[in-house]
Amino acid sequence: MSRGMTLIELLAALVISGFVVAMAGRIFLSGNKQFLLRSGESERLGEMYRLKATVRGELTKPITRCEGDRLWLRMAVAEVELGPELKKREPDVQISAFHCLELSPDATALQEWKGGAQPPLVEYRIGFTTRGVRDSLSGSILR
Amino acid sequence: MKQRGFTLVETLVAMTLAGAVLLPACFWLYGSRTSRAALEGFRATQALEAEMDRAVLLRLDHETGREISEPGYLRLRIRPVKDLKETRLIGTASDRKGRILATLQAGYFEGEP
Repeated sequence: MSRGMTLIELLAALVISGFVVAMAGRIFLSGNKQFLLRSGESERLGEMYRLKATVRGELTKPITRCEGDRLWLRMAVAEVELGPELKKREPDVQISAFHCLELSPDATALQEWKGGAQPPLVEYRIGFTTRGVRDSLSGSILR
Repeated sequence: MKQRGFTLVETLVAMTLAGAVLLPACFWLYGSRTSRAALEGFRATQALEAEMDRAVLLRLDHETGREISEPGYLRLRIRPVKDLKETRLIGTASDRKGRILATLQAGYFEGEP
């Protein structure tokens, strides 16, 4: 004679199924969260590499002026300010700041570039947004 | 004396409790170990690169260390190693726990402008 399930067995089966479903759901949610996080970070990282390459490429051109966080380059036909030029090319760029530095006369410290020969060191900071998240890229170029 | 094992219900309760504690712990550990590693590495390299550029220009000849807190905490350390007429600068960027995120090398020669 076949015996039906007892209440305890039924409850145990329900608990087991619930546990398995909850675990599967949790793993899926966590995986999905990780995927979104990683893809967002990957996009930010890609944007940073791209911006870095653009800035480095531009800063190989002769610098004509560098004052008050702004920098001007000598382009083919005229002098162009790099900040607005970057914003024009990269709509995600919000702000940019450049500092041109050179060695002090006694070569023991760095000081603001005063013109003349090209500045040996240019430091930059670019503020931009990716997927609505504000970010910044800081770096320098030894010329 | 007859030995009694765990009942099914007891086993299930124990499994549920262990799972409730262990699963979040595993996910947290996994997340904290792996996420943001590439982004942190890139930022560390950028900061260290800027510090190294300054050091090369100033022809640094002594060990130096600096901490920065923006956008995240980093400890930058540059150590010069003299090798005849060449001075190699070895720079490391590490986080608060001392984990090294980036290492860079640069150098200059004595007498070279």
